[in-house]
Amino acid sequence: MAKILNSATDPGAAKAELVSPDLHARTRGGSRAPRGVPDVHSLDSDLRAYLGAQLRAMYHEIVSDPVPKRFLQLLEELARRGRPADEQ
Amino acid sequence: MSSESSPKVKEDLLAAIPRLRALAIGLCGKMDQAEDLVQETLVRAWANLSSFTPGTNMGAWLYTILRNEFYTDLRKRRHEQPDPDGTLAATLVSQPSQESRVDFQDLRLALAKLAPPQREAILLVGASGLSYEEAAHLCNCAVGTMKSRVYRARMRLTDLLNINAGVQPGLLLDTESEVAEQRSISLVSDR
Repeated sequence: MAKILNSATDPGAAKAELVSPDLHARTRGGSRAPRGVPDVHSLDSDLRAYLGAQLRAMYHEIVSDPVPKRFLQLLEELARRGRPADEQ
Repeated sequence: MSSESSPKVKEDLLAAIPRLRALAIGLCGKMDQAEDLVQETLVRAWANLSSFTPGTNMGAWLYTILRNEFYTDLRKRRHEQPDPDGTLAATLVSQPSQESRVDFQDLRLALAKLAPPQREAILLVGASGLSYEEAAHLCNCAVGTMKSRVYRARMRLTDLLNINAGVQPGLLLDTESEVAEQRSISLVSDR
């Protein structure tokens, strides 16, 4: 009797009784995966946040590199030669 | 309409190089190929300055030149050396730049495995911070196309980096493995 009353107020407990303890622990019904088993969704969102940060960091690191000499020299040379004769 | 002076143009091109180079390196994976691409882009840009409207976004204009050159090179190379599975492309791992303080080796490896349109999409939006609209405009595609490329690139990269982190697929259970299977189906066609 006490059990039935408890189940009515605590749906989680009712579910746990219908389902084997192991399966309940592993399904995505809101409970955490047991230790050692990755929860693919939290891993995904953590990994995706990490991915975004990595991409931006990689990009900004290159952006902050000094301009390679070859490009400075190229621009010097192009400017020296002047604009192409196309604005007649 | 008066054209801009050479020194001003030179200054504007110079200012655009860091971002252009960063995108080129991300696209090409190889430093020397990327820098050749930037060189080619600058030469072409200079020769075609008449098609640039002063006051508009020079970085964007330069990038469209760069990407045209990149895809042209890619077609040439694929024609000479077909690589349908991308396995050869994946071995062309970038060398960290001499000036690198941090090695993003895993990420570079993973990027190299993406199909070029996806790689480009994640670089423009994820790395350089453009909006989907801006990136779509640069790539001359619909916004929806850009969104789907970015989405697929992210999924593929997270999977690749996941694998590197040593996650065992066998540990995925019922509902989780179903989700994983659905994801891998969408990853199969790289466009």
